[in-house]
Amino acid sequence: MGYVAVEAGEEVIKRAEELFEKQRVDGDTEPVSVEQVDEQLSRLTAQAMSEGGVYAPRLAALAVKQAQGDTAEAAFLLRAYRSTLERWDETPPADPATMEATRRVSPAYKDVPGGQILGATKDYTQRLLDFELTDDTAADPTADWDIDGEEPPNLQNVLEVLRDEGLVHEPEDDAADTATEDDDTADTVPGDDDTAGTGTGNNDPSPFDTTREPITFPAPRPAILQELARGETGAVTALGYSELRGYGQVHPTLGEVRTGNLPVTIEHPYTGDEVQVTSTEVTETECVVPVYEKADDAQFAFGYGLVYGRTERKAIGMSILDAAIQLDGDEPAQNAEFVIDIVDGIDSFGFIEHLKLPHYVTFQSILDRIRAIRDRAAAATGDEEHAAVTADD
Amino acid sequence: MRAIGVDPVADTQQCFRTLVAAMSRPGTVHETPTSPADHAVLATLVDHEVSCYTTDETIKTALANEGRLTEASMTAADIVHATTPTDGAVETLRSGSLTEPSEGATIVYRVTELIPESANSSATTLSLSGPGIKDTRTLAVEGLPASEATSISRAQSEYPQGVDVIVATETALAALPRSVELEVQ
Amino acid sequence: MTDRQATSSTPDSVDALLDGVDADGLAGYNYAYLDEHTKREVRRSILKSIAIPGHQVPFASREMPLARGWGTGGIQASLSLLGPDDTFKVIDQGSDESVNAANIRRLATTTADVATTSDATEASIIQTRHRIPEEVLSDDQILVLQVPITDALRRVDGSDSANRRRHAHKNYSKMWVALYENIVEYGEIKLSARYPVMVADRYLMDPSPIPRWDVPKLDDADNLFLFAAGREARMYAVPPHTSVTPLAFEDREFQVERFDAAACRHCDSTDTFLTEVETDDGERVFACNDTAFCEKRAANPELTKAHHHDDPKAWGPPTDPAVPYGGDTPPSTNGADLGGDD
Repeated sequence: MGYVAVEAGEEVIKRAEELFEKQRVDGDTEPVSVEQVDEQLSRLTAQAMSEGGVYAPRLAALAVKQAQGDTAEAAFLLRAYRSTLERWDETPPADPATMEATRRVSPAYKDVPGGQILGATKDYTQRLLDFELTDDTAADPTADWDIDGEEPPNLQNVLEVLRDEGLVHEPEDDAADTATEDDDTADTVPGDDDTAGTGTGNNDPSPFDTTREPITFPAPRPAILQELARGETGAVTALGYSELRGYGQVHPTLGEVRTGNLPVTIEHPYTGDEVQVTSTEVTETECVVPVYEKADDAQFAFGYGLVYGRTERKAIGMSILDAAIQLDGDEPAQNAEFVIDIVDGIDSFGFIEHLKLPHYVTFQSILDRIRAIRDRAAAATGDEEHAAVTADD
Repeated sequence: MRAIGVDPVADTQQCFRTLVAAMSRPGTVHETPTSPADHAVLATLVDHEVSCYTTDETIKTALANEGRLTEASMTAADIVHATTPTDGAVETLRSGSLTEPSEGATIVYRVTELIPESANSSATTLSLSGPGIKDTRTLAVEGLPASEATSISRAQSEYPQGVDVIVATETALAALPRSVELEVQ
Repeated sequence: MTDRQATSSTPDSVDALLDGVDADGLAGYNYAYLDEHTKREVRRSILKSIAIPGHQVPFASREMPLARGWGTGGIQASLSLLGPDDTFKVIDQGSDESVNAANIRRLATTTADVATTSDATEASIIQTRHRIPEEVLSDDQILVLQVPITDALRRVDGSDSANRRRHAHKNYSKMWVALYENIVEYGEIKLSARYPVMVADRYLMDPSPIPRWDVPKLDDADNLFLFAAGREARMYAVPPHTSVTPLAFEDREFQVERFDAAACRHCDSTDTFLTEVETDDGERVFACNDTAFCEKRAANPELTKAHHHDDPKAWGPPTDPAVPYGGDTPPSTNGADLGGDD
């Protein structure tokens, strides 16, 4: 009889899944291995991790393979998995200054302490399809580089220079100043502890976790940053772009964009010492915006971005949105509620695709209304006229 | 929670269903799967995501051993355990805000006896009406002074702000959500 | 790297999840899939929602192996309620056999070891997408409704924070103006499903996309209604014996859907919610939407909607606008007036 009244049970669902799987295995090629996805499609797996909110490269590679390359589906797999993991501790704040940076550029200054390190990038390469890749020899073009064995320099964050001069507005200052008359349970100073590059570190012992606490607005900045960091890459990029495109006042100068391996430490359960347990590849960016809230104490507005992997456009988009939301305003990207409501990829993907579910009851109700409205309109124009019209049809 | 005789999965599920029945039908009395009932309720609802005030060392230890205790003062706590009547302090508990009334506290009283639909009890008798109640319902609570019941009524007088009350004997409980009209007879 | 150990337990779909469960037994997952920490969060929010009827309580909604928009809130509520003694019914658009309903039912049976049924009178907990069953529910039953859009005011303002302030101050004038504008423009209130209601004379509530036909069932019912939204992370409730009134004007009363005396082609019912189907030869036919009740009626056409109760109170109007309500059901519409004219 139709889509719904089929005797579903396990059989139909199983068959649908098998057809999906067939699309992956039906060809003549060898199955791609999880290791291959991990090593050779790392930008894809990084996007899945970033939107999934969990750093686990090998799992992300598995998710990408299982999802046949669909990043939203892969991120969903990772999120659902993350939900089942027991959370037993929080790390102390990680300091990006300890990052082993493999790339760091600062557009704000021609030269910076530690130097401009271009690193691995295609930014200046011409985008020409490389047909030689169809015959991939996987030759390493850096094989004969002359590498000196020196320790990479510790790179001071360029924004510290501006902070020392008092030119950067600290978001924590807002919270201290503003009295919120609405909430009895006003959020205390929104210290942002997992991103220590924000200057005056607050000692808020437990950062807001949007996966454990529901958000209501106005939301604390840590909640907003977390949602942006987990946000769908396209959404963050598009909304960030809207500010540059003219729908807002944020046209930032990037203090720096930095990529590297960030050490992750925990407090040892017995000794209490900080020990490094792993490192995550991240991209971090900070920007300043020449919008001065106070004329008598002109300071840059400031935005921060941090993502897993090397998706620089997302990190930059995130920093633009952070600055835009702090500045607040009527433009879409400056409206915290609008941005946070739509930026989550799992929410948007789920709800848009839910439209495929049967809706025939709702639709019956809608049909009833449109017919009632048309009947009323027809009756209003008078019976004769109505008859004349129908005679002509 | 096994240390206090509560199975962390099965008993908490049953206790939760007891609480749902009690809150949906204020003034009705329901048996809890374990006793004492106030411990059952706390074992079901309390973890480190909410703050809790209690002076009961048994339940405190049981929760703390599982990392599930975030303590707070009576006036700041999300969940308040009143082993004795509060002497009117119930009126100072968190009552939420107009936009977030659900942030109002839940208070669990330890009482002696609950007598539903009692006409002539010497214990404090409450007459209830409102959501969950067809017309009116009476509940007598032994171990809750009339003055405390009046304080509860005052604490619930600024709907939707307010506190939600659970009264628990050794083996059973009843609930007085803030939505009910409460008259002390 | 810590991820190496855990590659075996990645649920992508309910199917794969349950394969894993079949293999290891229930050892890998907690009873009813959710961990106890998650259940406590959901349970606390359910109790608060019952205490403040119609108010949307925020809760920290977890990601589930089903996509957002496909019932994750309902599942979290059901799995937090269910125990081994329960009997669980799941319907989607009125049907037990819908693919999504079957999927949800499977998750419950395998992780919570519950009995299931398609009989609304046998279930202790019913999870539903967008319908309230035809048979009257009793005081020991709980109906969990899946909610896509949590706020009736979303129609007039996209901002939840602005709407929460309106709810705080019972300021619903924008909604009334919108309904009035409907009438000015179309002569009718054009809202179909998701019809806004006032709960306990305090909160404006979105009853989820149930048809208007089902809205009167919320008023002064014997059972508890829970409304769960996973994506929007809100829980709300209508306790039993609570007043629920659809918004309407004195001269534009609340109207339910009518089918002009059409009858179900399977069981011949004229007092159930029907949906229409275009047949291959261009004919329009109607069938009961509540398929389980339709089966019962087909076997016994005299069956009332309250056949399992002593009290014959029934839910829902007849399909013919000219026929008023029967029995004890308080009419929210004046049946005689609804011939499609004023």
